[in-house]
Amino acid sequence: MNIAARALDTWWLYAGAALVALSALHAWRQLAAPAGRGLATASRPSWTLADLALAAVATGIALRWARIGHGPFLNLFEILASSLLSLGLIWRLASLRVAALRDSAAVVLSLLALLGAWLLVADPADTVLPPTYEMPVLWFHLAFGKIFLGCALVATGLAGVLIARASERGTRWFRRMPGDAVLDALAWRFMLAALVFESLMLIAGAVWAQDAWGRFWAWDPLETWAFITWLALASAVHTRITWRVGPRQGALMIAVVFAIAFLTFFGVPFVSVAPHKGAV
Amino acid sequence: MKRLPHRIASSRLTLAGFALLAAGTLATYNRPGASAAAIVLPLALLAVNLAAAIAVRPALRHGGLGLFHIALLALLLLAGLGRLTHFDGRVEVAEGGGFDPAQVEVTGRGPWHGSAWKNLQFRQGSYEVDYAPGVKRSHTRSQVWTDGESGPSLRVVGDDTPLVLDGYRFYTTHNKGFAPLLTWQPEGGEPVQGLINMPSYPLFDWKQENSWTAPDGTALRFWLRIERPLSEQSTWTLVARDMPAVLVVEAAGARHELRPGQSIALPAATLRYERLAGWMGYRIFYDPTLVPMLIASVLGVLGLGWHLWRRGERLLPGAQGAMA
Repeated sequence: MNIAARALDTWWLYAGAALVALSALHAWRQLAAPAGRGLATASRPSWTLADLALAAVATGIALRWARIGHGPFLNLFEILASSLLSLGLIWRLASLRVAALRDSAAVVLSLLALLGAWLLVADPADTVLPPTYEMPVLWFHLAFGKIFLGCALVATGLAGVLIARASERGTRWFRRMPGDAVLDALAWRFMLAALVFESLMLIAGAVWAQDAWGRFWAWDPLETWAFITWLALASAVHTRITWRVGPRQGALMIAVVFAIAFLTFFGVPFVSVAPHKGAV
Repeated sequence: MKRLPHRIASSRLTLAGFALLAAGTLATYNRPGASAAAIVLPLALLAVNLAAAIAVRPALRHGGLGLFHIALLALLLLAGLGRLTHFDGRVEVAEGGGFDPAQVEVTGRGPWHGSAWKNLQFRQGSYEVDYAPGVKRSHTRSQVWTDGESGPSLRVVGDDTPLVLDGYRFYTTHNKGFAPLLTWQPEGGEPVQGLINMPSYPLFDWKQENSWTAPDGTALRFWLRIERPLSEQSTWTLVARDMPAVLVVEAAGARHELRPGQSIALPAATLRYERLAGWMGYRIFYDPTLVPMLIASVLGVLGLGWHLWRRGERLLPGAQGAMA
């Protein structure tokens, strides 16, 4: 397809993706600034850019929704766009509530920039909503899934800080943030919330699948990987609760769980065309 | 002896169970022929581990955490019971005909499942299927007649609106097609009327053919020539009775083209093409644990949420005091 002929909403989404990448770069620049320079206002410019990015993505999604008549649920392009918005919003809201999260912006925005870069190369073809996607329970399934991944992203941002602090440079970059024990506890709170929301996502998904395809569970690729993610998350939480795992080891566990969740959300739709194999 | 329950309740065993379950899931992933034991055995191990943990650790029996773990155990047991009692199958039912248990292809059945499905009854009416551009299937509306206390009642079922009979759920599928209604009138004999199910449409729109051997041994071959081209760019609705089509019949080496109401004379009988009807393919699902599992899973998550909401900080040993 001729790139110039793409719909206006696609360009809004591209602009949003580019702004996310810019805000990530800006956040890293602020972190790397010498002590005493830029730190007092470290988070403000990044916030402005990130907010602009989210506004652009929201506009793109709204325009696309109005044009094709349904939400961004189906192909990889739509899933990346909706995730960029939902993850960004969840992190934004969490940062408003917990000030300590703001300085993990560089890590979180870098992960979002990865989604943005992927969006730029994904096929923006229009999709047709199957009747199985018109059920109200789908909204719950999607919302729980987005909140789950958002909580995991916030925890991974903190885990990234903890891992970076293993080096002298990382310690210098994230010197303004609370101590490791505080970040570790905060990260695991978000992982526990992620466990609740992933469980809810699986339940709502099973209810949806029963009415959509006549079975509540059939080990399709996304179901299988969502279950693997739940197992990984439950194992990590169990390990963390049972044994005194250090902040760095705990951070590595969080990163591994997030990597599996990321693969589930974005890798499986990428290889199996539709989020669920029986979608149409 | 007292140590045995504690060993079975070990958290290390829980983690080992998780790892085995993950390995079993991956090992059986995308392999329909793989043994279910790879998943069932780790689940059984986790169920025993969880039951022992609930028994030996009072904390796992109280409050939200207790609700979560007991619901999780119930979920595991219900999942096992569901596998023992479930039933999965598929069946094609022709318009005007009734559900015939003999035609059911059983695709999965638990060893404790009885034969209640053989007593189910409904009659198939007509159906409509909406298509979006690109021949993407949208809503299906299939009419079925069931016997009620006040006589037959009409139900409209679809992919997301099952027909539920004695706990068996019938869902429409993409598998459906045309079925020419024919009457075979032998000379001096009783007429025989029936439907010839053509292959699934539009999946096999290029191959609408079937054969039938008449009661007197005459071999007949049928082709359905659809006269309305498949619309790939616009929305349309598939209605079998409205589809213009010619039935091509090959009998005794001769070809005949029939429209509804026309007939051909064969050496010892007359074959009449009455009209074009349809057939619908259903998926059959039965699992008595469906609702109990939903209740258990929702209770479990509510319990977990309740526990984390109230005791989140105490749950995290490293966090004590840190977040104050």
